[in-house]
Amino acid sequence: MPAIYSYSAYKTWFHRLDARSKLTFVFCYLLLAFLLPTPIVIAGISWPTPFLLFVLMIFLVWWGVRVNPRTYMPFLLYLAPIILGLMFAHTFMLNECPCLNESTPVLRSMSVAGFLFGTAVAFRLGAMAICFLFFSYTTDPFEWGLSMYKAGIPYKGAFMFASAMRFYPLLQEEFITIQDALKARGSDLLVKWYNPVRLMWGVLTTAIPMGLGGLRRSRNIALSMELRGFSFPEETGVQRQLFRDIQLRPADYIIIGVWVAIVIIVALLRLTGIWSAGPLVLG
Amino acid sequence: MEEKIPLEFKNVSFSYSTSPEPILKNINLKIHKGEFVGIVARTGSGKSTLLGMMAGVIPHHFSGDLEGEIRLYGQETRDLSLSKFSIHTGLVLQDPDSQLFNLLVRDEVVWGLENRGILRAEMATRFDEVMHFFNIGPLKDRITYDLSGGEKQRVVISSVYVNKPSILLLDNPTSQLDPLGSEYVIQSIKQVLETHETVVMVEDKIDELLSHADRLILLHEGEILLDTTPNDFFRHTELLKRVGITPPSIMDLSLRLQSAGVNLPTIPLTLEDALPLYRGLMNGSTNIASTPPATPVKRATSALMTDSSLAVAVREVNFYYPPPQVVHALKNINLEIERSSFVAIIGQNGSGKTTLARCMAGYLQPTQGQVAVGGRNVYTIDIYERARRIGYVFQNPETQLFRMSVYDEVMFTLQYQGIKGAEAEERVHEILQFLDLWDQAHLHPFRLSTGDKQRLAIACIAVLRPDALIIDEPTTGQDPAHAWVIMQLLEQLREHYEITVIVITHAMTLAANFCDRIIALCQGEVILDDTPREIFAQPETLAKTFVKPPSITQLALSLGLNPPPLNVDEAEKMFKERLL
Repeated sequence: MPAIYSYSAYKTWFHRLDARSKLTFVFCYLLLAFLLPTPIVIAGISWPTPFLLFVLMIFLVWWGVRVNPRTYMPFLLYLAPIILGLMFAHTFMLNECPCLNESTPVLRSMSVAGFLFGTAVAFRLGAMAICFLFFSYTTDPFEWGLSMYKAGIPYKGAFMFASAMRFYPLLQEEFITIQDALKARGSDLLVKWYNPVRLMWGVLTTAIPMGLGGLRRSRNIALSMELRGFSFPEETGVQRQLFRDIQLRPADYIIIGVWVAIVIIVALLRLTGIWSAGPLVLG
Repeated sequence: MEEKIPLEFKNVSFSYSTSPEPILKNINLKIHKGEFVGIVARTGSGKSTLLGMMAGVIPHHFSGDLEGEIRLYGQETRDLSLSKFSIHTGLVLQDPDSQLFNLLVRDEVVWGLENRGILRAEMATRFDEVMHFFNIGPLKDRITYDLSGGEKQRVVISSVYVNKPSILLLDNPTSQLDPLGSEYVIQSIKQVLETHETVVMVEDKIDELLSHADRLILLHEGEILLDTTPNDFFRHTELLKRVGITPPSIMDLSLRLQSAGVNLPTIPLTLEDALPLYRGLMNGSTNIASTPPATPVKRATSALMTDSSLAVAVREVNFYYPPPQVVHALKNINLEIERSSFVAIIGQNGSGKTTLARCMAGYLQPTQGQVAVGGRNVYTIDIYERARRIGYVFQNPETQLFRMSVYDEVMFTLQYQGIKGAEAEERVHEILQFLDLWDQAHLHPFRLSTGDKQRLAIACIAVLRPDALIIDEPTTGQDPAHAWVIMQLLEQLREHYEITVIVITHAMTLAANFCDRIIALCQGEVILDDTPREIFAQPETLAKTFVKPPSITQLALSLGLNPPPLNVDEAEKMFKERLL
C-alpha cells in the first residue's frame, strides 16, 4: 500500500507520463480552481467549482492511478477540520445578505455568500492537496529530479529534492513508532487527535526524536553519498553521465499543450468579461 | 618496481573535535593487497573510526586532531579528497537505509558510476555483471524501501562493488539484519572474498568468515593489542577475556577440551571445521551413549481469559492487514505466558513476531480473538492502565526519547500516571541506579552510547513496574559483550520486580542462556513453543524460521548428542564425560 505522498509504482498510463507534463497539469488544474467561475449550475443545482475539482481529482486518483481514498483517509480526516473551519469562518465573517435563515440569531449571522466563498477557498486548498497526491503517487522521485535537472536546476539540488521524497515513507513509519512509544509511556498526546491543543502538544513532543533522529540519519546519508562520488564531477571536472534518460513523448506534449491552452482560454474569457466570477450555468 | 601497499598507518592518533580524549592511539598498521582483515573490538573502541580513516572519511568528512600518516597506495590521505579516495575504496555502513538514495534498485546500483562519468555502455556492462555476481537480478525493478533488510544491504554492497574499488571496507554490515538477511550478506561477502580483493571488515558475527580471514586485529580503547592469524588470535585467551572478547564458542570449547587433555590435533575455527574432528574423536570414544530426545511439552491452555495468574493470555488471535494487500499476519494464535517468566519470540522477518507483540501490547487490535494482560482485556482498559500492565520497548531507542535529560526522560513516564513528588523522585532514582544510569542522569539522552540509550528506554518503561515487559530486539547493533549485559539486566528486572519479560530476538545464544521459554513463529503461526533445549532439539522444524541454534548446540546435535548443550560450559562438561 503506498504511503501518503509516496510513489505508488503501479503501471498506469499516468505513471508513464513524464514528470514535467504531470507538473504542468497540476499547476494548470490549480490555476483553473482560481480562474473558473463559481458556482457552476448544473441541472439547476449550484456546485462550488473548487468542490467539483476536488471531487474530480479524488476520482482521477482512484480510477486512473488505482489508489483507493481509504489509503489516504487519515490525510483526508486531518484535512476535514481545516476545510470545515475555512467554510464556517467565512460563513460568519462575510456579513452579506441573504443570510442562511432568519429564524435564529445564529443562522441570521451566517451568510450564503460567505458560505459559498468559504467553500470555494476551502476546496481550493483541498484540490491542491489531492493534486499533489496525484503527482507524488504517479511520479518516480528520481524522474522528478531528472526533470528538474533537464530543466536547468543544478544536479545536486534536483537530486536532493527527489531523494527527500524517497525517505518520506521512512519518516512516516518512524512517526507511527514514536506515536506508539508515547502510548507505551501512558501518554494520550497523539491519541486524542480531536483535541487540537493536546494534538499540537503531542506533535511538539515528537519533535525531539524525529528531529534528532532525522539529523543523525541525514548526516549518515550525506556521508554515504559522498563516499559514492556525489561531489566527484564538481571536484574533478568529469562530466556526470546518466544511465537512464527521460524524454518527452507525444502524449506529454499533448497534455502540456491542452492544459496550457485551457488555462489561457479560461483566463481570456475571464479577462474579457465573457465569463464573470459569478455563477456559470451549464445545461 | 615495488608494489605500493594499499593502506598504511604510521603512528596515527585521532581525537574528534568534540572530545579531547583520543579515540585512536598510535596505530601502526599495513593492509596488503588481497588480504582479508577482520577487526575485532568492543563497541566504543574506535573500530568505525579506524575504518572511516581507511575510507578517507577522516579527515575529509569528520574533522578532528589527526596525527601521524595514513597512506593510500603511497599517497598521503590528507592530500586526497573524499571523492578521489572513493575511486580506490568502497565503504559499506551498518544501516542500509542510510545508503540507499534512489527509488529503484537499478538506479541505485548505477548511481555511483553516473557520478564518476562512466559511459553508458560501460555502465550497462558493469550493471549486468554485478547483478549476476550478487544474484540480485530479480530485485532490479523493486523499490528500495520495500526490500527486506538483507536485500537492502546486498543492494548496497552491489552499489559499492560496481565501482570496482580495490579495497572494500565493511562496517558491521549484518548488525541490524535478521538471520536470513545476515545469511544473504555473508554469502555476498564470501563471493567477494573468492575474488581475492582486499577486504577489511568489522563484524561481530565474524564466526562464519573466520576460515577466510588472513588476519584478525584486536582493537581496544583505541589501541591495537593483537594483529595475527585467526588461529593464533584466539589462543590469547587471557588478553581476550580482559578486554571482553569472547572467542567463537566452537573454538572456546576446543581450547578448553585441549587444555583438559583431549587429543585435538587442531583447533577448529568454525562448525564446518569442527564436525569432522569431533566425529573422529567421538568414534574413538567408548562413552558415546546419548539420552533419548525428550518428548516436547504440550502446554495446556486455560479456558479463562480472566485468569489473573497469567501475565499474558492470547486466545484465538487472527490478524489481517487491510486491503489493498490483505495479509493474514497471525493465524489462530493461542498462548499463555506465566508470570515472572522470561520468554523469547523468534522467527524470520515477516513471520508475525512484531504483529503479535503489538497485539499483546494493545497497539493493534486483532481481527479476531482476545488478548488479556493480568486477566484484563487489553483493549478495554484505558491507555494509562495499559501502560502499567504491559510495557513495550521498541527496537530503536532513539524513537522513544523525548526529553532533555535522562532524569526528565524517566520522570516523563510517571507524570501520565499521576505519580508526583517524593514518590516519583524515589522511583526515578531507584530505576536509574538499578540500570546503572544514575551518574548520567543530567545528560541529554542522545549523548548516551547505544547501549545506554537502550537501558534508558528500558528504564522509562520499567519505572512503571508493569506486569509484563515486551522488548523488541534489545541487542541489535551491539557487540556480544554489551548484548549479554542487556540480557542480564532484563533478568535482574525480572527477579527484582517480578516482571514477565518477553523479548523478540534473533540472538539464539542469548535466548538459550537467559530464556526459559522460546516461541517460534513462521508465517503467522506458532510452530514451536517450549524450553530452549527442546526447541533446539527439533532442528528441522526450527529451520523453517531460518533461525539457527547456537553453534555449540548445532555441533552436539550433529554428533547425535541429545538433549543438546546450550552453552560452552554445558558442552565442555558433556564432552569431557564422553571423551575423558
